[in-house]
Amino acid sequence: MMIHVEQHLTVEAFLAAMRQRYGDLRGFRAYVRSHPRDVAAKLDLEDFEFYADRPEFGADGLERAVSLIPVDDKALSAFTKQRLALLDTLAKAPFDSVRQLARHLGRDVHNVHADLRLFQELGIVAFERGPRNRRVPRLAADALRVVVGPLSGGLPGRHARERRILETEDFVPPGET
Amino acid sequence: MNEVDRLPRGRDLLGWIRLIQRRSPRGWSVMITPQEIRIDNFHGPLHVHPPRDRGDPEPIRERSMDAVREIVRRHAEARGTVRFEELLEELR
Repeated sequence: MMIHVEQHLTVEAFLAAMRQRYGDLRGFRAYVRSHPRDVAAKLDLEDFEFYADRPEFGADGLERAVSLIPVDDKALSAFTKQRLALLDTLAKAPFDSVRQLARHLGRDVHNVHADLRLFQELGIVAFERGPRNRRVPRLAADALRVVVGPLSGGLPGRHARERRILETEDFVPPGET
Repeated sequence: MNEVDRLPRGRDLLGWIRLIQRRSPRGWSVMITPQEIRIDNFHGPLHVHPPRDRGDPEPIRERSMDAVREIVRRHAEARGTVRFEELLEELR
């Protein structure tokens, strides 16, 4: 079983998203140097460095994806009903801050923040810079799916821009059995 | 188990193997974490980088990104972890 999270965007949109998150190339490099464990950022930096000076690729597609393979019984317990509801809510509307999201969910802001950090570690959620240095939570995906068996390359709507969050196949969240 | 197969302690060990994938006109890559084994076709034919880039890349047989991801998934599910030397044999 595998949970697959993917995002499709143009090179131009990717560059814009990275600039918003890290600032310029210097700021991006500084972030990667000071966060050596953030492997995804390192990969993004490589793409940023490659495409920043190649505007001819701007309209081309770029795919960013994370596949999560559980290797112990506890791993799947991270996807509680409450946390899935959080992802579903984030997919449906933008929130300017963690506090605003917590208020919408009727949950304690510290617990929501902890859940977001967990999803950030898994590569499902990213934080962007907001006004007054707020951390703005965003889904780092167009689609999140649970796959039983092989995931073929021919995903339906592979290049579609619409959000398809929490499409699950044969997946029952813990606590709902 | 090789020294390089030992998992780093820290927050990213959550009971998951993560495959971070990138695909764009310049090629594709699959990074296996937390082992930090990378398979990519940037700068030439398909090859695999040892954990945390400690050593030279090893060439492997040409496959699609989806096929490589499937091999890694089966490997990880069967072992509960990723062992570089064994994975390399499966990818060659």
